[in-house]
Amino acid sequence: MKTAPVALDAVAPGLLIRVENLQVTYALGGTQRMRAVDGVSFDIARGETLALVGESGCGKSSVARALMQLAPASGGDIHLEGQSLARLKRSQLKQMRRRFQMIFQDPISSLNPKRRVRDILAAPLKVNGLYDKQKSEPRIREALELVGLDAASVMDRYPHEFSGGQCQRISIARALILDPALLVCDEPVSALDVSVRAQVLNVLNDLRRRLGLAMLFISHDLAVVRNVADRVAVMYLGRIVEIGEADAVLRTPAHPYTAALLSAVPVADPDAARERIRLKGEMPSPMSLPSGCRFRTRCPAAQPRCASDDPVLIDAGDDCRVACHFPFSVTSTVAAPRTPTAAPAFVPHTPQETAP
Amino acid sequence: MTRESQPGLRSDRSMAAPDAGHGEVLLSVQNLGVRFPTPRGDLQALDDVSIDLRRSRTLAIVGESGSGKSVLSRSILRLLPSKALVSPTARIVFDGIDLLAQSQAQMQKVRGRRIAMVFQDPMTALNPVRTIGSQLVEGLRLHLNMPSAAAYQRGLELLQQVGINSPERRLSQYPHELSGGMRQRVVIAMAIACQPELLIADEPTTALDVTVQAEILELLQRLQREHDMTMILITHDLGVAAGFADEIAVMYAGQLVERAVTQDVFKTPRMPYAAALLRSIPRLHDAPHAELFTIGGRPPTTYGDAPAGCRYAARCERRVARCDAETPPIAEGPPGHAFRCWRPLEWQ
Amino acid sequence: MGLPLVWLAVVFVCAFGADVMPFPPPSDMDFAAAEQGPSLAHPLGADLDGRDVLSRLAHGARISLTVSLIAPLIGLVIGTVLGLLSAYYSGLVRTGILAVVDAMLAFPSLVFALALTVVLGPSVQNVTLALGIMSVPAFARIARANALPLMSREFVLAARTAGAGDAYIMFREILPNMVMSLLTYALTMMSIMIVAEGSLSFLGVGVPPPTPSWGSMIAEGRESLERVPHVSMIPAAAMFLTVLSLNLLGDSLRQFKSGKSGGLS
Repeated sequence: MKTAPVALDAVAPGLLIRVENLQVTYALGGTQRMRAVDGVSFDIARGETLALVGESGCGKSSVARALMQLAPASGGDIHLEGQSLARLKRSQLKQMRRRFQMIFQDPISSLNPKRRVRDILAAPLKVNGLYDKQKSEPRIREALELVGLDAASVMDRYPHEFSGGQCQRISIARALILDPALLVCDEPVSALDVSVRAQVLNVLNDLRRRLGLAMLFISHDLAVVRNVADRVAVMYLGRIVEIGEADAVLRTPAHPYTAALLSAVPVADPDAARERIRLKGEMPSPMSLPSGCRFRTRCPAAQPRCASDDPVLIDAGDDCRVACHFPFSVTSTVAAPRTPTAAPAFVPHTPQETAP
Repeated sequence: MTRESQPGLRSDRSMAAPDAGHGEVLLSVQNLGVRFPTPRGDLQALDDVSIDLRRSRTLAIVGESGSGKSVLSRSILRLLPSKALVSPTARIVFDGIDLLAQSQAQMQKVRGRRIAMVFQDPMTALNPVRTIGSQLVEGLRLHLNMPSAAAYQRGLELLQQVGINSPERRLSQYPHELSGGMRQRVVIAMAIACQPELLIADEPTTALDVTVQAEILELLQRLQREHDMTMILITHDLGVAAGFADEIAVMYAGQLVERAVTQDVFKTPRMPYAAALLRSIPRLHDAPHAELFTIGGRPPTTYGDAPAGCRYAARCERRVARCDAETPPIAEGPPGHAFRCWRPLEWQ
Repeated sequence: MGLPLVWLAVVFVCAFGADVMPFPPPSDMDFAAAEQGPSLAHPLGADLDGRDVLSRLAHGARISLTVSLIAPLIGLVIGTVLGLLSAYYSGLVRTGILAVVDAMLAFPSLVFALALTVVLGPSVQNVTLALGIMSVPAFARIARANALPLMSREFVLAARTAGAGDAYIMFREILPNMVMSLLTYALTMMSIMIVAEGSLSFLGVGVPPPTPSWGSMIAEGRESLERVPHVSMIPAAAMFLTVLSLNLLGDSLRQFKSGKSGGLS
């Protein structure tokens, strides 16, 4: 395992978005400030889905909002298709906005209750001066068909006439209207019923295949993440602690927090072995972060070094990067195939001291 | 028969039947139907639900929104809004007493004392302008007539039992000073304060993070073992139900559609809705980008009298003519496994 | 619901049709019938100067309705814009608007109306203007209170990510969701305005004579209340019924609004 930080690769041609050292700070009245996102960096290639997972307070929603320019970033930069967003003027930013769109957690609240579906979908076109009576109507229909809704029966109705799952699909259609390259999804299925989640996830996977749509998928539900993601980034208290191929991160996690999360996910199988990695204590407040590694106060494998040295993301093999001094050892050979019903038993490997 | 003695709380019940062992039915819901009058007609929230629950068992009631699971749990404690109409033939028998026939004053003695409830959102279950301590001891003083000093001590013990460190500090704090997981622990402490026989938890972990959820569920399991409580867990999460419950009842559109031990529901579901639900959930060990099984359509909302026929028929893969014509009754197939279907799934 | 609407319809008809109705002109003084109770010639009696009460009531309705329709409209339009702006923007805009609104709220309203009409001169227009301006702070606060929760709704965020500008979001996305609340409040404001106009006229700084107004009619009959109560009581009753009808209308509008499954409830 290398200990030196990986040098950022030169911008690859397939790269859609690069987030560099993003920081988001909220002012909390008086002089108090809370850093919700503290130096987050990641790339998303065209057509790729990166999932951002973590529990409440980790900053994943703030990352999404900063990316969408809905919340101001206090540091770092975002490059979209090679263009730095921080340096754009307002009018140029408006142009760029079409390239990346967002869907939200609450499907009912995502649609203006006083507007018909037809107008809701036409609005982004009108706002950008792209609305044309002849051409826009078929475009709206097409967007609705893409998400599996019958355009004719849906267009003239109001949001309250639809179920949560249908509203979410209308939101997706609205996001597609401007033909974006990236779709940011903030917990898009968390508020939906179990049997409806499958519909929306299928739609998203379908769009990925048909349109080559890239996605930043925010979720706390690891089973959902498994279904949609190509790569996964795990966040804790404003930082990415592990990032890599979905298979690697979800099957053979390197960071103790990732392992703990995975072991806590309820499995819909009464026979599944449940060996939970227990975390000590509570998540510290972002206002009073522990010294060294932020996770050390809860980590079952914390060592003295963790209190003095703040780990950075280092290469852990297999295109996986982890911020930990004693990550679980990850072999680069393919792990033995596991039976689908048994949850992997996570037993922390003996922490190995890396050579200084 | 002193009321202050701690260890003897369970033997002190003036309303209890003579000491009964395990295996005896503690709660029996019979033919429960609930309707809510609306301008469009009476909304059917529950239709002819009957469930028996034995002592020391854990039952998970599973269903999606609109299935009636929350209405069911609230009916047991008579916490429905006043305009709710309960069917006249319904009975909810708890340890020999018909709860539906009790007056509100009598129900007050049951709530918190013999049957306790934990709700989904701890922030709204706790009064934000009162300290934890004052809310915690309130039940103790109300039901058990404990003097303040004793109640305070008991409060400390309870907080420790639910895994809260430095309980003295917590007692004087307000709800907003605690994290979501801690608040839920406090709510659980309040629920078990008077050592109830039955604990109903309505989506207790839905609003919590996954690691906290696991901790709270483990806590509930531990408390159940230690206090020998019977539990009802209401949830929409099949994973939670699988890890937690002895028995599962599946609800759909206000009806009970399947009821069996956990193993049987997950391995050999009979009612197509239960099977479809299991197939449609994404799982951690699926292949990536797998196409998920979906159930088309939506659950029906019934105003007024329900039409004859199975409520799931419109969405069911196994539908036949009889499903539209007659409402299937809930019937037992293999022993201990009840379901409501004319054409249930077969298993070898 | 029927009766309030009927009454309001009657008031409306009288107000706008007063000239063409078979009433004696309101300023005609018939001294022979002065201070008489209801009779065939004067169905609601006559006042101290012999003027027909019914006729004066009908003409007075015009004043009351004009003021009660236009003054709240002024408050609604200006107040809504101020409230929206103070909810949408933070910093100087918000602080400034709120400071002005709070100052206006703190100022005793009747004194303000009095001052304005004294300075500008008593007339229907000035009374309407004064009352309209007085109602701005209330509308502004209500508009702001309605707009604030809407600001963080996801459909507003979605509009922003699509590139919508501030004006579009405020007036095409947020405002339509506030309209019902504001209209309901406007209805309440109408009834307040009728009483306010009545008070001003009662104090003698409202609409100048000889134009009849319900308030001035009440004032005129004040001295002879024991002798001929109908001169004051009849316009008072008319005012009472109108205000009551408007309030009942507002109540059923509120019921209707919260009963609908549409909207954000």
